[in-house]
Amino acid sequence: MGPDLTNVYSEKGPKYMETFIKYGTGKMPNFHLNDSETQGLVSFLAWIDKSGKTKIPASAVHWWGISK
Amino acid sequence: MNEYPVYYKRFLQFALGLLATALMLGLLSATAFIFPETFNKFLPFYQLRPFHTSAALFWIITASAACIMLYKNEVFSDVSKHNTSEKLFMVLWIGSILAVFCCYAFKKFGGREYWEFPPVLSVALLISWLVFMYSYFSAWRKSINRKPLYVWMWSTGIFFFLITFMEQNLWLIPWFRSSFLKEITIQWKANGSMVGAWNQMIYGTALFLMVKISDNATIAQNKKAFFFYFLGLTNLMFNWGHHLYNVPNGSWIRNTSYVISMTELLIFINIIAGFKSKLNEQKRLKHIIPYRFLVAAEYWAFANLLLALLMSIPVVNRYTHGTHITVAHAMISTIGINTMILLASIGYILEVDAKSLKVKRFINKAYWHTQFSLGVFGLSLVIAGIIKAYRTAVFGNITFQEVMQPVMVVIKVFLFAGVWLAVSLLSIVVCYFRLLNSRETMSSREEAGTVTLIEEYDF
Repeated sequence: MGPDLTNVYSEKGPKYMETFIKYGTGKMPNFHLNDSETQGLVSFLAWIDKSGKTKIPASAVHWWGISK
Repeated sequence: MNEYPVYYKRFLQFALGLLATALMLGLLSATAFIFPETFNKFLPFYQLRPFHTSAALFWIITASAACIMLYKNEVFSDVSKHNTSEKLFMVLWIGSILAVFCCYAFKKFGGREYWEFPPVLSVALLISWLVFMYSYFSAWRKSINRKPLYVWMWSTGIFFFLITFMEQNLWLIPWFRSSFLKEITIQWKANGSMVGAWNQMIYGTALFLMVKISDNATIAQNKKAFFFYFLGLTNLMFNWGHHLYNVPNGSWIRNTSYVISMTELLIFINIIAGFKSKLNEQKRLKHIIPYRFLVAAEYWAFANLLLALLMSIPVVNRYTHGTHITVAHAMISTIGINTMILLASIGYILEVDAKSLKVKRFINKAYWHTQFSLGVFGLSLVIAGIIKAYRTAVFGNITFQEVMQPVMVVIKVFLFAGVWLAVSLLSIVVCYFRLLNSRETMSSREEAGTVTLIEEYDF
C-alpha cells in the first residue's frame, strides 16, 4: 500500500518531486525516466492536486466520521 | 453426466494454471515489496503487481465460465451443438490472456488498475466474451426446460460482465478522462459492479452444487433463494457506492449501498446453512470434498461480513481506507469465498470423491492447511492496516517510510502465511490438474459406490 499522492504537488513542490522521481528511494525504484517523461508525471500530479484535498481537518468532520 | 470432450479438460487446466500463476506472482510481489533493493533491479513490484492481480481476476472469470459451460450442457440437455463457438471462445480467451501476460513481461502497460495492459487487448477479450455469450444464450434460448434460479444467476452474471467490462473501458473516450474525479469515479464504480457480476456467476454455481449434492431442487426454487437473486441483482447495480468512499459523493449513496451489500452476504450464509441442515449424512459423505469447500466459503463469508461491517463504519473507514485492511477484505473475498466455491465446483466435476483414498487424504490435508494459513494471512493484513492507520492519524507529519517501519514486521508474517497458503492451494491445484490429465473420464458419477465412500469417510 503506497502513500497518498493526491496533494503531493502542493505539499512538496515540483523540484522535490523531480529529484524524487529522478533518483528513486530505497523503496521506490529509479524508473530511468527522461526529462520529458518526468515533466509529464509532475504535470499529471499537478492536475490531480487540483481535484481536491484529501486531508480534511478534524474540525470539519462530525464525530461519526462524515464530513460537515 | 455424460463424458466431457477433452477441450473442456484443457480449459479447466488453463484456469487452474491461472490460479497457480496468481499464487506464485503474489508471493514474488510480497517479496519484492519487502526487499525492493534486490528486486527493483530485475523484477520490480510495479511490474509484478498487475501480473498478480490480472492472473487472479482471470482465474475467477475463466473458472466460472468453464464451470458454467460444463453445467449448461446438463441443465439445457445440450451437448455438442455449440462446440464450434465454445472452442472459438476458449482459443480467443486463452490467446488474449497470454497476450496480456506477454505485454506485462515486456513492460508494455497502458490500461487502468487491475487491467493494466494496452487497451487494444480489451477488444480481443470483449470479442471472446461475445462469442461465449452467443454460445451460452443460444443453448439457453433453445432449451424448453424450466429455468432454475442458478440459470438466471449465470445469465445475469454473464450479461453484466459484458456491461461492466465496457464501462471499465469508458476512459478511452476523451470526455470521461477530461476530469480526474469523473474518471476515477467511473473506474471504481465499474470495478465494484464487475465484482457483483462474477459473484452472480459464482453464487449461481454454488447454488447448482447445493442442488446436485443434496438432490433437492427446492433449494433453488424457494422464496428465500429468489429474494437472494433479486437482492444480488440490486447489489450488482447499486452496491458500487461503497467503492467510492474517497471521491466526493452523498453519504446516503454509500449508506444505502452498504446496507444492500451486507444483506446479500447474510442471506448467502443463511442459504448454505439451510442446505447443511437439510443434507443427510449419506449425501454429505458422497460429496464430502465439494461439501467441505462450500462450508469453508460460508465461514469466510461470515468473517468477511464482520470485517466489512467494521471497516464500513464511517468513522472507522476515515482511517482504515486504503490500508491493508481493504486488502484483507479483497483477499478473503477472492480466496476465501470465490476460490473455495470454484474449487468445490471443479472437485464436483472431477468426481473427486470417487477417486482413491490417497488422493482424498491429500486434498483434505491441503484443504485444512489452506484454511489455517488464510486465517493467519488475513489477520496479519488486518493488524498491518491497524498499525498504518494509527500511525498516520497520530503522527501526521512523519514520512511514509517512518509510518511503514513497524508495519513491515507484520508484513513479514504476512509473507510467511502467504508461502504457507500458496503451497497449500498449489497442492490442490496440482492434484486437480493431474486428475484432469488422467485417462479416466469425468463421468459416471452414479458408478461411485456410496457404500465404499461411507467406509472411507474418516480420511
